[in-house]
Amino acid sequence: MTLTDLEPTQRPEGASDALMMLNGIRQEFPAAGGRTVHALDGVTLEVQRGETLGIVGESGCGKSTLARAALLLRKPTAGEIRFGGQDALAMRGGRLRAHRRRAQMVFQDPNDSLDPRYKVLRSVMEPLLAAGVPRKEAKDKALAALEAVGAPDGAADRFPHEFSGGQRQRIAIARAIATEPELVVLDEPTSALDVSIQAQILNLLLELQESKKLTYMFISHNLAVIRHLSHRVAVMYLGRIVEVGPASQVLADPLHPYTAALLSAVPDPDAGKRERIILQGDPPSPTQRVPGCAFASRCWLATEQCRTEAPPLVRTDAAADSTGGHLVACHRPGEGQEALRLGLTPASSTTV
Amino acid sequence: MTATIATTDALAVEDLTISYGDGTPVVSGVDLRVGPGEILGVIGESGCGKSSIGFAVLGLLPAVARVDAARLDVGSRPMGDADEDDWNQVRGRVASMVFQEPMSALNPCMRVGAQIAEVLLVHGLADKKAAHARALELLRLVQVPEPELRAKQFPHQMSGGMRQRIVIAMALAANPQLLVADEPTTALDVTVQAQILDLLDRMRRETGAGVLLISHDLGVIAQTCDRVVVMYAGEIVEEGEPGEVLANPSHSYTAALVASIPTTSSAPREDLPMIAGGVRDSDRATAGCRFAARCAFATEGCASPQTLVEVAPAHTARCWRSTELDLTTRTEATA
Repeated sequence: MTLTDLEPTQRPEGASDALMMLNGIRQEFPAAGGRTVHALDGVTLEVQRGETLGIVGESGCGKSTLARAALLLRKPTAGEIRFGGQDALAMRGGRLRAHRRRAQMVFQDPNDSLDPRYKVLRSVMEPLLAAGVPRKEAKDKALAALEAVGAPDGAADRFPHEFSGGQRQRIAIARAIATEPELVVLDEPTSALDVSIQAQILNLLLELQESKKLTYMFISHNLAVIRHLSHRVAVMYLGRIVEVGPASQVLADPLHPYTAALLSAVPDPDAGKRERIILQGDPPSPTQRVPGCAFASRCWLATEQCRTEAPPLVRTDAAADSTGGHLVACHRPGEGQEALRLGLTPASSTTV
Repeated sequence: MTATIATTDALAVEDLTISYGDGTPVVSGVDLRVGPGEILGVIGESGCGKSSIGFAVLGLLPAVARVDAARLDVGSRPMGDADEDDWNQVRGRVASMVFQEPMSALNPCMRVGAQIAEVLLVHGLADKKAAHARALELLRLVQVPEPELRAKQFPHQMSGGMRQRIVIAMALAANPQLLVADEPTTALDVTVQAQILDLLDRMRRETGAGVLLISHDLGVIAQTCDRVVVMYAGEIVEEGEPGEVLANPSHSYTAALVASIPTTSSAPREDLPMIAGGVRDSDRATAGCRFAARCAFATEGCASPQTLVEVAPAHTARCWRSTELDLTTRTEATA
């Protein structure tokens, strides 16, 4: 059984102020030797209006592929995407172009995402013109967006190379909010920046979310940044969601052993030297679909069941509140964190 | 070949200044000491000079860079007036480097076993057969599974973490006294980062090599280092044991840097304290405190030359007000 076989019963009933619903998204790519990369292996996820949904995972787990699927930049192999109640994958032509105004993206590296030969104004106007906004109006909106992100005076008539990395990322954010979108997907927006600049950008993102009622899908490998910004967090491993729930629960009381290991691996300046779970090896190749839990090969709790039977993503808490609940895909939920708390770390751990 | 435990300092640097042309120095007046088996962290933001220091102690800066130092001892060798031939004797043998990006640090056209053996062959430390045997031994040392198989593979056949293990194996091949690791885990995932930091920690214990660990990540520094120096605009502004420096910063730049990073104990979704402005060229040229223009606590006295003063045992800060200011609360550091 895989996640795709699941009925979408885990959706919180009556909870839905869902802006976007991803249901059983699969994304496959052909690989060398006739193999197939299963970049997304049945992702079901809901993004609620006004929230920040943090997506965390390591390289190759599919988080950026998920972002591209959510923005309809690439049609998934299978699955359903509903945006504001509409079937987004069925949109064509003018309707699709109109839709693109509603969902925008900020990329990791503003050096790559801004065209070096375009003046800033042209870059920021581009999504507006693409959506059919008249030139005069597009210019006003672009200038307003630049002002909203705190770009320096006269920025519109300058080129990207005249700005620092932090300023360039502000400009990229201006471009994303210029169309007055509902959803902004942020793919590692501060990874290329120094920490003091990171603070400025994170503060700006929080402020814009409040003032413009934005919904964020925030993708990062940095758990501290995810924790700082997110209302809810989804943890991905090898193309699957292994855990999702309120940030305060997932990051403080992880139920999946991978989440527990990930959290303990992050060096924390406040914690200093401490007990850690050090996972052995690397994630398996996404060209091999494992029958059981994707994490079983690196999990110190894995049993025969874990290797043969994929655990479904199920709710663990009883409360049917609007948070969507705390879901985990694990046959032995909570045991990893429990062991860490008791100091019974796996054999692979170390005391530094 | 067994590891020899070094007794002299791995690195001793006094009054190191690095400049280009007649511009203002990118590094000025830096003193560093790395003991055998010790990990000294160097932390700071882009442009603070931390990587320049790493290159300078391996003689890797371009010829246009002017490096002046009252003392520059790498292992037991004084390298202050060294020429390129002298450096060739030192690099890879007395001191070696672990770079940030393992893919570009390895030769893509050469089997990794041969790359590791090359270090020994270049320095004439072993014949071909012995070098190959040592390469396998090193692969085992850095915990590469199936070393015989891996030795015959090319870098592209390996994951990022595995490649970084190969780079570390190469760096350790000749039993150097000093390892310079410039952002060795920045390109890696956090679970792999934990493996590599653990490996570095084990290696320095087993080989006795001192490590100069350059990083922008306060967490990595806190987890790994015995001591840390904080760099700002080319100067050391604070030095001490990492737990102490990060928990009780005594320079307002360190305090502001620590405060600006979200951590497990910072309040979610609240504004992070920011450091206003940036480093200007004039800040580097000033005789006084280079951080003064961005510091919330600056007064007229900050225009006078600043020295590193002891604020606690083995903890110094380049701030004349360091003993009177309380920088421990997060919000006060806002500029």
